[in-house]
Amino acid sequence: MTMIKKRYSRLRGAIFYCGLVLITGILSLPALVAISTSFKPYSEIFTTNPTILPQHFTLASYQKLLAIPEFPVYLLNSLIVAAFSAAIAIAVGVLAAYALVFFRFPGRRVIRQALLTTYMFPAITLVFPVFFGASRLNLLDTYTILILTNLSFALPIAIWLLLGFFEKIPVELERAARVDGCNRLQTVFHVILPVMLPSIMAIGVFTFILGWGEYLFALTLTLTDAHRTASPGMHALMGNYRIDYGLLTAAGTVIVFPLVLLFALFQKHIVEGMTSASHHRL
Amino acid sequence: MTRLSLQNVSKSLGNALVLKKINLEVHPGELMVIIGPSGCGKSTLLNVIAGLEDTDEGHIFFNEQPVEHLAPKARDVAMVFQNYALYPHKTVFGNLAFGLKMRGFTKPEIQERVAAVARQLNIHQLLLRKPRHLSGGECQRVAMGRALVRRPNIYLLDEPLSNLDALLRSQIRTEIKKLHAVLKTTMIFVTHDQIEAMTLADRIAVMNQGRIVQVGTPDEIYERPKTDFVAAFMGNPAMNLFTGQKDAQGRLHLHGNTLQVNASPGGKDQTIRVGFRPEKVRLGIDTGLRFKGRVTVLEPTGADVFAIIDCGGEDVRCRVPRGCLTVGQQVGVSVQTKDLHIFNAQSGHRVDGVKRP
Repeated sequence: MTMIKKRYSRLRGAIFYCGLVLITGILSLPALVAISTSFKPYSEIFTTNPTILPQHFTLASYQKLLAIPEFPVYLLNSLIVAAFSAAIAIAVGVLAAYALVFFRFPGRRVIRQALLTTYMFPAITLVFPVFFGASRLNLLDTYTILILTNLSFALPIAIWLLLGFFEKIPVELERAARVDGCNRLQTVFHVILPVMLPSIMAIGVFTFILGWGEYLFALTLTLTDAHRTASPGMHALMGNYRIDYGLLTAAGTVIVFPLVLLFALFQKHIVEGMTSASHHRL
Repeated sequence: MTRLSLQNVSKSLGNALVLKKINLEVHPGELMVIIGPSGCGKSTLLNVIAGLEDTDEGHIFFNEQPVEHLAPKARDVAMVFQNYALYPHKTVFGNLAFGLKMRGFTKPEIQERVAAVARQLNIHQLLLRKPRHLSGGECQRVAMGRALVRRPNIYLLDEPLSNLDALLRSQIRTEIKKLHAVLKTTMIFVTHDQIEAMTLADRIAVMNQGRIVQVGTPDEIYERPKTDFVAAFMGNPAMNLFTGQKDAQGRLHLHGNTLQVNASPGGKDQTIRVGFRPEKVRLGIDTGLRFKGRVTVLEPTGADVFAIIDCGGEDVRCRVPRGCLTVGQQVGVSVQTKDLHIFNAQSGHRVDGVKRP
C-alpha cells in the first residue's frame, strides 16, 4: 500500500517537474534565441536551417554595437531616467504608504482603492494627452517628462507594494518609536526604513526595471539622441531598408543584462512583495 | 511624581465610540491597574494618555498641566507593549539607548543609564544581542528596561505579561511590584487578568464598554462591587449570580428562600440580582440563603476544590476543603445574609445600602 502511494507521489513529482521544465523552456526560449543570435555571424542568422546555438561563435555584433557612438548615450539616459524614477518613487512611496497604514484620516480607504486606477488606462490612450501637455510645458525631449511619465506608473505600484510590507510592521513598533521621542518623520527614518530596508530596496529595483525598459513614452516624448533611452534607442538602430538582427539582439542582450542581475539579487524580496500585495486588505 | 487626571475624555475609532466620558484620577506615585474584558477600550485609553491617539473630547492633565495637545515626546511617558515592540534592527543596548538618544542625552549619560538599568534588570549580559536572539522573558525585561532607562513622568504598561508563560508571569509580576516600590513613579498597568490586577494594584479601575464602572482598592472592588458586571468580572471562579424578587417589605425571594435583606430603595416589588462569592458558601443547611442539590463537577486546584452543585437547574459554585465531597453526592449549602451582594436587575447597580454610582 505504502509502496503504491510512494510510487504514485513520485510519479506526480515527475509530471510536476516536467511541466515546470516545459513552461520555463517556453518562457525563456525567445530570450535564449535572442542571446544566441547575438553571438552568431550574419550568415547564420538568415538561413534555411536555423540552429538554437551558434555554429560559429562570434562577437562581431557586439563590436559593431560598441562602434555606434549613440548607444552608450542611450544606456546612460536609461540609467538616469530609471534611477531618478526609482528614487522618487521610493521617497514618495514610503511616506505615502506610511501615512496610509499608520494615519487615520477620512478617505484613506478610497485612496487605497484608487491607487491602481492608473492601470485601468492602457498607456497608449495617454500618449497623445501627455505629448500635448509636455509640448505645451516645453518638456518634450527632457529627462523630466520621461521621469514624470514613469512615475505615473511606478509610484502607484510602489505604494501598493509598500502597503503590503508596512502592514506587516506591528503597530506597536511605530508607537514605541513615538513614545521614545520620535516625530512621524523620525519614526520613518529611524524605525520603518531600517526594519523594511530589504523590501524597500526590492521595490526600488522593481521600479528601476519599469523605468529602464519603458518604451512607449520614451519613444514618443524624445526627439533627439541626447535624451533617447535604450528601448527607443534600439528602435533607432533599425535601418529603414535593412534590419541587422545580430546588432539588435546584441543591443537587447546588453540592455537586459543589468536588469537580470538586479532581479537575481533582489528576487526573493520582489516575489515576497508581490505575494504580500496580493493579500491586501482594501 | 506625576498626578494624572482625565476629565470627560471621549474617543471614537471609525464609527465606534470607544471611550465614553472617562473620568479618572491617578495619584502621584500610584500603581493604577485598568482592567476590563477585550475591546472595553482600556488599551485605547492608554494610547490616549500617551498621546498616540488624539482625544475627541475632554481633557488630560499631568500635574494640573493640560497635555492633550502635546505630542508623545513632550508628554514624556514610557510604554511597555504586550508584544514588547523591540526594535528588531537594534541591539539590546540600541533599544535601551534609543529613547535617550532621541532626547539629546550625551553618550556618557546614555552609557551610564543603560548600564545601571541593565544591571538592575539583570540583562547586562544581553546588551550586544539582537531581539531575535532573546527568549520571551528576556524580551520582556528589555522592554521594561527601555521604559525604565528614560525615567519618565508616567509608566504605561499595556498587558506586558500576557505573552509569558504562567511561571514567568508571576515572577515578573512580583518584580514589577518591587520595582514600583523602589521607583515610586506613577504607573498605569492595563490587563484583562484579575490576578494581576488584584496583586499589583494600589487601586483598580474596572472598565466595560468604554466606561469606567468602578475605581477602588482591590479589597473594595472584590468586597463591594458597584455593579453586577464588576461582581461577575472580578474573582475566580466567578461570583454566583441569581435573579430573584424583592418585595415591598424588603424581603428577598430566591429559590424557595425568603430573607430579610438590607436593600434600598425599598417600597416596591422589583427583580434583583443576588450574588455571593464561592468561598462564602458553607456546607450544610445553616442560616441565610439555602440551597440543596447534587454535586456535578469537582475542580481540584491544589489547596482547595471548587465544586459545582446543581440546585434545581441552577449551578452554585463553591470552594470546599479537599476530600469532603464526591461527584453525585446530594448536599445542602448555605450563604449568610451579610455575604450577599444585591444588584438592580435592570441597571446592574448595587442596591444593598450602597449609594448609586
